[in-house]
Amino acid sequence: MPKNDQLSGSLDLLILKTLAQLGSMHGYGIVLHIQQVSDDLLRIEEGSLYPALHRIEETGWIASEWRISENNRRAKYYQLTARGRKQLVVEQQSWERVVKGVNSLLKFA
Amino acid sequence: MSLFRRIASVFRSHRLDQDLDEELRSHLEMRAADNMSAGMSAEEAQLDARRRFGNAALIKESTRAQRIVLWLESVLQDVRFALRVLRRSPGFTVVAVLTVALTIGATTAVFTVVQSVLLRPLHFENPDRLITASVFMPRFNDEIIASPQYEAFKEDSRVLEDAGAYLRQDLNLSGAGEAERIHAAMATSSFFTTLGIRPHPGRAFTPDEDKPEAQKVVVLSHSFWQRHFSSDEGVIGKRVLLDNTPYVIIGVLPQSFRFPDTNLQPAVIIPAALPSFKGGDESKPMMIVNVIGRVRPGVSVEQAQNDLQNVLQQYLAGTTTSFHGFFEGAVVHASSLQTQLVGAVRRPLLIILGAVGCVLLIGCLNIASLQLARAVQRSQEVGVRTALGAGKLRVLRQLITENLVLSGCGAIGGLLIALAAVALLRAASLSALPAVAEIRMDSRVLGFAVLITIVSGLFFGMAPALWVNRTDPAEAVGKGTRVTSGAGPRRFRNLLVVAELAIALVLLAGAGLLVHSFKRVLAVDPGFDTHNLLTASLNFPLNTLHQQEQRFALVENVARELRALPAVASVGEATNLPLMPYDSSLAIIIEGKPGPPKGMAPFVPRTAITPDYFHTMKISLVGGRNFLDSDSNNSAPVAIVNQEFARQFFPGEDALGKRFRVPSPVGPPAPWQTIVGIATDVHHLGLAQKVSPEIYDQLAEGSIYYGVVFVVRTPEIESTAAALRRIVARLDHNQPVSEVASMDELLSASLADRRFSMVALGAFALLALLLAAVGVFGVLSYSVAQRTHEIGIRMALGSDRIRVLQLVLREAAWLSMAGVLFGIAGALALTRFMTSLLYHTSVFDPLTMVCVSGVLVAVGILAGYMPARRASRVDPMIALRAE
Repeated sequence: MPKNDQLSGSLDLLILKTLAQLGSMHGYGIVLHIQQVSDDLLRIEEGSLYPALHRIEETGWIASEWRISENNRRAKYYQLTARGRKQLVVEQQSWERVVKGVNSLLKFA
Repeated sequence: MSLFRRIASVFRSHRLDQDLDEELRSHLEMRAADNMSAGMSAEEAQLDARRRFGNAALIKESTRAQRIVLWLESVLQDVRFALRVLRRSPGFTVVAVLTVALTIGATTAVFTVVQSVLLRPLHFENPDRLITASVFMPRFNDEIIASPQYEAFKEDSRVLEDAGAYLRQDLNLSGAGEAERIHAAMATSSFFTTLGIRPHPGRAFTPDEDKPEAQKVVVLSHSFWQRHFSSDEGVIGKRVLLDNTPYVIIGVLPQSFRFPDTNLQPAVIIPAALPSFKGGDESKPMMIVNVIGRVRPGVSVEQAQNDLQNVLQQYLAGTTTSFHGFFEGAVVHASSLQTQLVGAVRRPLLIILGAVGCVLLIGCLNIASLQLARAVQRSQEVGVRTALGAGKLRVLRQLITENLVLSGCGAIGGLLIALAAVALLRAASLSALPAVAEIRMDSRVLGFAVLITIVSGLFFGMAPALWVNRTDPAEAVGKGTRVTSGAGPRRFRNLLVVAELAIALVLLAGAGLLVHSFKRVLAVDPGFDTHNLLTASLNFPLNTLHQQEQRFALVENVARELRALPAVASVGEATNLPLMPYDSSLAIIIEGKPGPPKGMAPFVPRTAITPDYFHTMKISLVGGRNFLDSDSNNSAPVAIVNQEFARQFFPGEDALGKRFRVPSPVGPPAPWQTIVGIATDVHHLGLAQKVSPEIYDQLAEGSIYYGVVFVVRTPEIESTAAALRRIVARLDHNQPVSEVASMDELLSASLADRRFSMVALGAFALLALLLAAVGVFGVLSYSVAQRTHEIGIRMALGSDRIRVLQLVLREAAWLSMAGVLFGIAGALALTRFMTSLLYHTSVFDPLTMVCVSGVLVAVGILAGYMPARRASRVDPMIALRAE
């Protein structure tokens, strides 16, 4: 499995999207979710996940609270804020533009 | 960056780090649990979780870094916002920044002086173990220590590791160029070891060189070496001619060396060569010395003092002679060298430090009050921001950032002001401050400035910020522009201004007392006319003491040539002048009065003068006659005394014709001297000093000991001084002329300390008054702005402009009067620390209190006039329609 360093730019998008789908989730759950949904294609490194989570939280797009997980463990759950929801739309649009651009370039050849 | 990181870590990191640790741990645990349910063993599961996780420390580090970068960004954002806000109200910003700059500038400048003079350790080895010791003798009301007691201290004390002695001995330098009188010290060889000074190049005296019969050697000061030998290292072994005697140069003092005596910075140091008194030999000459000791580690000054007191008692018990009476009630005084060096300036400096602290406080109160006014206006803005989702803490942080930006801008200006003030102080090189050359800013001063900037920024920003944050957003937004200040903040602001005025009054009272006292000192009649009076000294080497004929002839010739100058009205000579310390005091007994017990006869200062002296000084005789030329040949010696002498020794009698003489315990009695004249009192030791009894003898051959001072009455001080130098150089090229000054200069110099305290405290009092006036102005301007509506109604209902003017001015008067009330209470409590600085002035001086109170009320009302005028110009139509 290749490391997905090239994904780090779009990591914010993945996190925001995951939280939009799951409502609220802890870091481990986010890793698992992205891995499962992408059919093991995308694997998030813990080394980039936590810095990103804290940066996004500090920016105000997500908020966190400590809760008890489904299997009775204390975990820090993240969820989107109103601003985060808006940001997700922005990021998603810009991602789609990039994909479109890259695709046209690839097809052109 | 590192500063922010540190601040960040202080405020927030600890909790967040714990949080992160726990979060990562829960991640690991969940992964391990999943692994186990997938069939791994517990150990394998843990290991796999760890491996996938990677370097936990690294994750933590980079997560933390993210946080700090974001925090920094938001700080910059706050700073940018603050600058924008401040730019939007330039009036407030200029006043606030100026206030901060002035207060921080003043505080930093004063702290620089305090740090340099009082706090910085001396440039000696282990300076905290250095003490000075002297013996207080009630009989002379003076601290004196003579060489035998020094010897006893050095030899017999158990607590002193080492001790050295020195005395001032100015010398005539001749041989190369114009002869010059230089400051010099005689010091023991142990003086150098006690202080731990190593001359370079060369060395200090050895104990063998510090003996009366040894070869003459000299150690040069660094500046003397530079000036006379161009810093030539080969100077060691060369000779200089001091007091017409060749001295071999053996060393040069380091540049950093400062002689441990504020009043003496010698150009050269020669051996004291004190004769030993071991074995009770008292025929040798005693010398009055100054003693510096190094106590053993761990010995306190008190312990040293007690030990030296014992040594003194033993010494006195071991001697048999006549001078026991001298030592009656003698007490050893020991104090740390540092305390001794700064002793005289300590209290004035601390008072000035207190004053500048008050100025700082007023400055802070002022800005707090201005900020509070703005806070009320800004509650709407803050309300909107809170309503839009800004956290209370976030808003608070923003307001505090604004204040820190404000005080930061002010602090930069303040540092510039402080630098200029320190440069000015150094240029003025006030004699009042020891080590004025060493006054400079260092890292501690800068640290201090940064600290007070931050503390004052937080202080004057906190109260208004907290008040703003208390407001309910809905209420603030709903009210629109018609935000009214509740009674709360308005009363609080009035309180702040009253406090400012009260503090300003305390400073004004202190400065007023000093001014009053200074005026009293200036009003003292010195007893002679200081104007158009040139003074200059000829000092002679002690080794020409026997050449009285030559000395006297030189003095006579110089005086004759001076008198021949067209601009010179008259010339007198004396062995000593007013505003110089006395150089000779002798015991006297009075004919026909019961003699005091042996050794207890009173000492009276004596000055030898020529007959022209009184005339030249314009000292009048209240009785009897002046000296006559024939008196000096007369076999029956005569004397003139001052009024105080007559009062003290002949109360209710006529002193004229009475006789006195010096007691002579051994040998034939000295001849009686007849009082032939009584001169008016002269304030010899300074205008503020009490007049002591004095005796004038006639200057004659045999009475010139140290030297002679010329007094020349002439309107042309400069040219006459130059002529005097030429005359002396022509008559004897080895004879220097020294202490050339006009009497007005000497008088002014004698008042320098007083003037320094007065000017410094006065300047800070004025600054305080100015700041308090700004405070009153701010409060009233704001209150007028708030009450425009009310004033409009009043005017619509028929109130005229005068009455509106009065309305506001009355408020100014009330504030000022309250300030006066509290201020007087504060002044009465605080000014008593100034008693020692005052001359014939009570700290409760009612005139001063009334004057400064009047000034404060006047300035308060004046500061209220502008807002009052604005209020009286309110157009009722516009005011009412505005809402």
